[in-house]
Amino acid sequence: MSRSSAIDRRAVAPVLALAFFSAAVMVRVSLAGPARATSTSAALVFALLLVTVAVISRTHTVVNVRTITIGVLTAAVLVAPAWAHLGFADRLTMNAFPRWAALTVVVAGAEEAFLRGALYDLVAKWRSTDAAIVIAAAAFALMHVPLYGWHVLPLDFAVGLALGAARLIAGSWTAPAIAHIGADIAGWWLI
Amino acid sequence: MSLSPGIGARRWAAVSIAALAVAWVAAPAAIPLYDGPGFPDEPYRYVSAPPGAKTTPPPTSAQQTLQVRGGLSTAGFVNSAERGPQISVYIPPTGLQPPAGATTITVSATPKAPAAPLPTDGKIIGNIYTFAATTSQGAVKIVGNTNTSTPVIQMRSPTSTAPFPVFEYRSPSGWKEVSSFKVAGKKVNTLRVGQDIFQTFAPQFGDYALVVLNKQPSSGGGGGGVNWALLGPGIGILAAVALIAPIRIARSRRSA
Repeated sequence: MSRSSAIDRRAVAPVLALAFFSAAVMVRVSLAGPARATSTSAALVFALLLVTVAVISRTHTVVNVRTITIGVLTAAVLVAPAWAHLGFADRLTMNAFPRWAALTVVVAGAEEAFLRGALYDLVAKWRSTDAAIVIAAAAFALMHVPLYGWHVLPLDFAVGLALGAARLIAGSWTAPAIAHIGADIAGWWLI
Repeated sequence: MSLSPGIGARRWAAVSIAALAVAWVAAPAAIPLYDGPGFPDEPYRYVSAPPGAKTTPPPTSAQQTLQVRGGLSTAGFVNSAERGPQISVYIPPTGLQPPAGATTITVSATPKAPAAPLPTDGKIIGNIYTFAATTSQGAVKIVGNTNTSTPVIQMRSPTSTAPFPVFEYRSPSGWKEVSSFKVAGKKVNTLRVGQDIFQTFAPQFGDYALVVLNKQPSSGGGGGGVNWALLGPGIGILAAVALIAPIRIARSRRSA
């Protein structure tokens, strides 16, 4: 068995994971129709697909003071420029908040369990943690394009890199999940 | 390529902070940015609220200055400040032509309350928006008349339920559906591009509004729900991966 064929075989799993992820995005976009990102049912189906892969791949899950601290600090890093750029706002009514926040936790958590959990582990095993961070960030940025448009690509890619850095430092997807959810929740008061 | 974890972690933390700073400075996108399910819209802001509407701040105007290159406009989005924007105008590259000597064009969309003369074929929902472009040297012309050079307007409807509205514009002889315009030789349509967001080409400056017609079109009109053309391939790929992955996992566990 040559070294190159071993490398090629290791590439199958991340390629399959990326194909699955692309298909999950297609299913979400097609189910949502014009509602796009605001479709609850499409978002939940998407989250269920991603969590399924994360569970099957037995991605490493750690919840402790260290991962929570890293997650909260990363959320602060993500929110700070948005707060500086947009300032504090109070435009959204609170009666819609509980349902939206619960959905945010589920969907953002599922995205992180897949991207910085299952996919990260597979790519890191195949190539390196550097490749895992970049590929997960690219997938994260591209995932948002059908929902919001191309203009979000640069910022979402940068955010993906930050979430990847949190994954690397913490050693688990739970830190970027906390950061992702925290940044989303903070967004309620930034828009 | 692989580094020790400590060096890699510090480096990636620095790279990601630098990337965030560059992205915010170079291409600040409107939030939503990092979200899973997306943010709900704030209540619609009327210039003149109908009875029973929620009390809101006044609607905002959209205004943006675009650079002129080679005698024609560069591209740009012109959004109002609500969440989500109640009006968003996209000026494609080469879409506008200012007078000679102009270096910038100010594009704006200003809300106003519906006032007579009103459409005779339906009812305006929401505000009227006046789409305009000015320079200090004089009037601006819309010169783009293709799918990629004609200005595009998106407006948010106060409701996301049927019957869906169509775009109308105020002509000298009264309000008319945008289907009386032609772009690239074809009639202009109203497209439903979001739950409550509608889009059309705007080949003329002036007043635009979303109008619920008295007589609804018998077919189409507004776009549907599930995109079956995309759903089929998506499920097909999911099924293919679901078939291949267990085989791969079993093989890799046997060889491990």
